[in-house]
Amino acid sequence: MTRYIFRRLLMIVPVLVGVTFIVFSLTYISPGDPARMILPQDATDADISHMRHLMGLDEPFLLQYVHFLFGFKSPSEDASFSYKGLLALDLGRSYVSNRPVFKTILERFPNTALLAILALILSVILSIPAGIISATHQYSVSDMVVSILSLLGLSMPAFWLGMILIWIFSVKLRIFPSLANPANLKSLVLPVITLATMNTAVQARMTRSSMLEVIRQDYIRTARAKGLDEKKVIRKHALNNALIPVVTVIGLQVGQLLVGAVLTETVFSYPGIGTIMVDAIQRKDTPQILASVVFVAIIFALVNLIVDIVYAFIDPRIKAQYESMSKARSNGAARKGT
Amino acid sequence: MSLKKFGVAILIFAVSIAAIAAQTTLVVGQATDPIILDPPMYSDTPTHNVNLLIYDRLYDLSSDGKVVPGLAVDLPKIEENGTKYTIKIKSGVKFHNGQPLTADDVIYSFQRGAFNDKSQMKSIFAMMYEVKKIDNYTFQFRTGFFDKTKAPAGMTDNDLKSFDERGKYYKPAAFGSQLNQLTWLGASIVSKATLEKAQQDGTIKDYGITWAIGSGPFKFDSWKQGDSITLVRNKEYHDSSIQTNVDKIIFKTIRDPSALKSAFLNKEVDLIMNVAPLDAREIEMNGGKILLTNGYFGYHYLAFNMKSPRVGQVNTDGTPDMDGVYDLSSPSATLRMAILYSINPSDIVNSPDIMDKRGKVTLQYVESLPFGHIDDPKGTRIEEGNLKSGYYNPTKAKELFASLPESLKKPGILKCTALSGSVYVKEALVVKDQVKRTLGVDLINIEQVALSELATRRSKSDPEVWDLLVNWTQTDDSYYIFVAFDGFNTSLLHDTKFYTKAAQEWIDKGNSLPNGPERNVAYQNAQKEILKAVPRVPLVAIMGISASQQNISGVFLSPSGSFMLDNVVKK
Amino acid sequence: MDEQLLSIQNLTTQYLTDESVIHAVNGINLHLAKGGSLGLVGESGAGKTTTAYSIMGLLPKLTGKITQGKILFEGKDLTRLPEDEMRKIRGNEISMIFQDPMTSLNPILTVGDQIAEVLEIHGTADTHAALAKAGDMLEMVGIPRDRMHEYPHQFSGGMKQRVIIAIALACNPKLLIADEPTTALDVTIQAQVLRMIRDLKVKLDTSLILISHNLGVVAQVCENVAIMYAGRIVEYGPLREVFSRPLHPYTEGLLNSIPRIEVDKDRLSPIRGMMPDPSTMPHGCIFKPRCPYAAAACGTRAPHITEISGRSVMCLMHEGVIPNTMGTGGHHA
Repeated sequence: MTRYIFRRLLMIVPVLVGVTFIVFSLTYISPGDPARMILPQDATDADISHMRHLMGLDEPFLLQYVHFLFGFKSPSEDASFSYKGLLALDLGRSYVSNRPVFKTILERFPNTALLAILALILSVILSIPAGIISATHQYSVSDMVVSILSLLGLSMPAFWLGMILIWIFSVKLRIFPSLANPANLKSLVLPVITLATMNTAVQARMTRSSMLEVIRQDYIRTARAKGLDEKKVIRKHALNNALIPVVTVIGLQVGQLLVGAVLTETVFSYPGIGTIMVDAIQRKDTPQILASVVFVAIIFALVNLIVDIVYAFIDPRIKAQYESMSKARSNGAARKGT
Repeated sequence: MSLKKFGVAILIFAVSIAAIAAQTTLVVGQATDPIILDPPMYSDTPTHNVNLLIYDRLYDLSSDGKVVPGLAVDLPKIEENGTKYTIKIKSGVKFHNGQPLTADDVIYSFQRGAFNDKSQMKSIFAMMYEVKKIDNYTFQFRTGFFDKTKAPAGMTDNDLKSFDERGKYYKPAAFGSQLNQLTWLGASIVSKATLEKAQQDGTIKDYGITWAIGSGPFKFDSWKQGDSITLVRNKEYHDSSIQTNVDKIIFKTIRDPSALKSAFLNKEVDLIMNVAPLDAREIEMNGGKILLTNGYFGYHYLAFNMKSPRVGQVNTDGTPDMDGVYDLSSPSATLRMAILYSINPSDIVNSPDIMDKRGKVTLQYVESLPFGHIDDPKGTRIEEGNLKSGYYNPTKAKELFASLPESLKKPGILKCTALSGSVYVKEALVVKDQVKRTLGVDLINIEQVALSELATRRSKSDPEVWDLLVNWTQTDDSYYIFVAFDGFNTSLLHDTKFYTKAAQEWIDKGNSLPNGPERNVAYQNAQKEILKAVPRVPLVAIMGISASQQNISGVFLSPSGSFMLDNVVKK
Repeated sequence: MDEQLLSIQNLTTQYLTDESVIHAVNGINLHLAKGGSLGLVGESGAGKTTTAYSIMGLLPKLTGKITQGKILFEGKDLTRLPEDEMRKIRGNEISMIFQDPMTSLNPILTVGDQIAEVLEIHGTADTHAALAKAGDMLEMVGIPRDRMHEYPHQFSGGMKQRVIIAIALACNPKLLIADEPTTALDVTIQAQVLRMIRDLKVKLDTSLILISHNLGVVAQVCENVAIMYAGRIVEYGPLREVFSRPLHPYTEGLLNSIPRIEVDKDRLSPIRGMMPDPSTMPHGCIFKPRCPYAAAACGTRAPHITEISGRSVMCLMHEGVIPNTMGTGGHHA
């Protein structure tokens, strides 16, 4: 099992290279000239090409990508556009704010993580029981209520919901502040609700359908035939089996939450990483864009890995699969080599 | 520890809590984060607001547009036909880190602003040379420009990297706006000793981001990037006439305009600026205070693409005529006039959806600033209009239109661009409708574009890309008013590239005169010249609208629209 | 007669859907003595599994309903028991094993846990003791006890079925209902499992109801047999007698359709026709359409149960209403 985890961690590297190459290419071909944006508006063409030279933008495409990976030494006097490269996790400073790009992301990431964790906890607490009730009382009133609420939750755009909540609870009722910041837990209530709503809806539906499928399985019948009471049948036998697709969905959503919910962040003025990324793209702040993408790729890869590990803990068949994969490989290696 | 000591500790704790609690904090809401708090390196309004408090300048602009001394003791001594300035600065001024402020710091700041690679404020110092220290609190400089005849072949102004070098190749000339330019943020004074040390130990990389040292009424405390900047009061500020009771100012960045408004209505924010007219109404209804700039600090206009064969200045073969002399009898000029006389800007001013009466009809490009404003309309185009309906004259419009060839009378032949989702689209729609009703043909086709696209189109002024454009510009708050009139060297955003030779001559003259009535007349004449050909139709003069909570007083808006918070009082 | 362990009297069970009523079990009578073994035989859809579910109280809650009859277990009427009482009986006094072993075990729990679970439900509070007993049960079904920490996917089909049997017998129930326990297994494993069931039955003194459509399987294990058709028991009696001398035409047909290895035959002889749609209730004898001996009366008069020397049968021929032409092969052979 540890070997499996180790291999997965290693696989993150080629994924990163692939992703960053694509994003690098996209930012390269997209219109807009960072040098022009940094310099004052009356800059001459000579100024602009000098700046491009300092920034390393006049080099051929592949050479720029190599610099991106391994570092770039700018000919500028104060070495201001130099950086050590992706492999040292240093992509220099933002063209716009002049702050080190990774530092900016790492500073803001805990804010996003806080919101993500709270939203995740809320959505899991609400959605799984709702899904279970809905599935075990199929066709009843509670089933209908859950289904309708899920549909509503899915259909509401986050920014709209956020603004409505602000309108009601901040401006009219003065219960919660409209500006969220991580130090003030009370101010996080509304953004967490906004973020959690769609996730709850999706998870509840997934739990419901997964439970419905699991309840029809033969081993549930066996459990009942043992004389186990229905509640325990659901909890002990049905639920854990039903969770596997739900864990997948939650994993995807955690990934999305962690890379920042831009709309919610904007509506509540929350200092998360989603806003950083979108701003960087709008201003063609290439180092910040690339650093953000690298960060996002790493996060997603890690979240996926964690989800896969959780599978192994829920379902021993999957754990066995991982272990046999590692064994097969090493057996193959053993056969081939020594 | 003993009971007594414990009691004292509790007391101290309680008092400090009370002290912290008793701190008065002002929260200002802004739509974007400042970029960097290093005056010559970047300037937009949010940055402006913060830098005004951290740094001092030699001179400042009062809220009614007059130049008043800041760090300088008095207005400068100007000699030799306006080309030599001597300025004396206050003694005993200290920077926030205790360093004393002397003429060395002033000269260092100027050098930095003029020659640093990343400086965006080089234009302030573009005409300065021979900047000299006389004593610790006095310095001198000259104004002029690069004289090719004095320089070796191939050398250009860009090659000169210091005031002393310039001294070799510059010849003296008066620059009337120089004094006003010293009130610009880019001329703020930074600490030479501090920055030179920072250069050595590398901390210069974060200057203006994680730390900043000025001599102003508030000190930089911290900056949570993208979120908020905190300033604390400088209790040792050199100007004791300042009357603020605020201990801390937080500039909070709130991107979404409706979130900004909600935060204000919810009293989480004390001050906001750039309030849309409709929101202003709502704020007033909900108990907020509306603040207006003293005077109209900008205007909305309809610009014609002077390279367009339909409405511009073109030769008989259709190519743009760039000599700056306009032929007012050509069909394209006639079409311009026809459009001019079809527009009644009061519809725009009165519409609750657009201006909600917070603006006024304007007939010229400089509405309320004391210079360049044409007071006596006799003999100018302004005579044709009035402040109620602008230049609206449907009879004349129809007459001119009738005389045009059929090719210029087709519906949709004029492409009008406006920033998508903005108020300018609404104004463009009003114009389109008025033109249609007056001339009987729906000539104008509106295209909404995004900001970057808009800037690109204007800079291109390619005759196929646009014919008309609706946007706004800020009239400059100094005497160097190129922005309002346009020329070739104007900024990316406020640029519609027309060139009027006669006007440029008057502008150059005005720029070279020392301050005084003659300068004013020169700029007025420049305006008059431009109004003859009307490459731009002035629509509405606008006021800057800001809002504050009822318990805030002492806030002024500078003519450029930034907050002047030195005297803010929060109850 | 001994005090019957299980006595089903006139049991009628229906499934109620929005569109129709499914008459799954129609007034059956069955008895099982203590220590006895009864085979319940019939085609798919005959109502055998429904009967088992009715006994166990495992009918689907929303749609399944016992509309008539009694199920007396040691004198108690199971149809009248409240659910919490029924739960005490399930797995404890009456156990059931199901057809498909591949899916009847929870894949994410160890087999040891799953066996121990039934013990814990019915009284063994101590987990250790339960697991120890689980190990004993595994040995009893021929699986080494240290495999109890393994997961179902690590066992073959036959072994899984043995685990299921271990679960069913862990609490030493008085009655074991086995619904098609070997149908999903290959023939060699089938023999093993059947042998094990037989042995355990003797060892633990468990009564057994074995449901199957396979006459051969039933023949290996059961003393008595009941032939079920369209929700009715059409014949009942000691297995040897019923198979050697069937009384009901259906039983005869079933026996005839078994391929005989010693006889050279080009074609098998199935019973013509199909079982009627359980949502219809035809008049008269339900077997008439397929019966080679059917007469006119069979269409109008439904047969009652006739007792003949320790056996019972439901056929007008044995009631004397129509002539008894059994053994002649009938009108259409």
